[in-house]
Amino acid sequence: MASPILVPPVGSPNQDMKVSLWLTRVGEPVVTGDRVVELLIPGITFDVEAPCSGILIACECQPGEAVREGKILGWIDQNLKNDVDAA
Amino acid sequence: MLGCVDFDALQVLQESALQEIRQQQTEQGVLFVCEHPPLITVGREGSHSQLTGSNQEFKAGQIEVRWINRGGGALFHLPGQLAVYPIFPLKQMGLGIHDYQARLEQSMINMAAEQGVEAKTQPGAAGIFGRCGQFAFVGAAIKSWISYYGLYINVSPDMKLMRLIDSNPYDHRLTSLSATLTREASMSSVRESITRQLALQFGYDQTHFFTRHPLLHKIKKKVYVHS
Repeated sequence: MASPILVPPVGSPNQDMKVSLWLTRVGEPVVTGDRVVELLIPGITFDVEAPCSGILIACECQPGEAVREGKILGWIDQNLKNDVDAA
Repeated sequence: MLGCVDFDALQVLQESALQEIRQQQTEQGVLFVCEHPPLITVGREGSHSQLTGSNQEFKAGQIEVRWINRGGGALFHLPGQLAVYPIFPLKQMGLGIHDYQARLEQSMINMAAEQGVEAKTQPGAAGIFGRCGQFAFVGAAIKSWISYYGLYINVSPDMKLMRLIDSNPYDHRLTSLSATLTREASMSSVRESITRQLALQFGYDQTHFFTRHPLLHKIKKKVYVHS
């Protein structure tokens, strides 16, 4: 099952943000709470954490792309992680 | 309140405080207030174009440049500029990123008012502006909902050095509190004021002050600049 990585609430729904850079590459394993992507509002960067453990299977937004609260940044497949664990 | 502190040493100290706060899971925060020896840092909004390559100081490698993960563009740090690093647990304090940014800015506006400078923010710019231009910058970062890096306030730095880099892409004139006041602004007064305003804005009613840390050494560094 794939879980989305969402732009978290920042306290202002209309706040424009940009993807600064991905800290994890597609195909790499992540654990809940790992920092996966860095976002940027003018003057402040902040890290978005993995909502679950698994493998990062897709980055939906590229660095420089504008995003807002709730936007899907990427996907983590939890089953793939289970497969890795089982192997 | 730490005097003039090497940037790299302060980074180590910030990381140590951040780990400590993460483990504590309380609302307790730490504020580092210091100046840095001459050094340029470039945040995520910075670019090589801000470092005008024709300057002999850059060519000679006399002025170090660090590319770091804070917000904001390229900034010149030097004595006379106050660096303020709030390490605050935003999640425990119930603050979003927007609240954090707004309270940082309000703290700087209130501090400036206490110094006799009318100041405001400008849309799309991370910093504070007076009648002569921008004198304070936000260059912060948030990791695991704990803030680090922070604010830089030009109190009375050597503006000739500051202008060696193009500090912002919006043609905002760079200035200092002293230039705005047309008299020397007091570093100790600004330091006391910004510390008090930050405590007020972020709801800290108990503060303890320290002027040294075992991990830090005060240093002096000379940089020769071509006139």
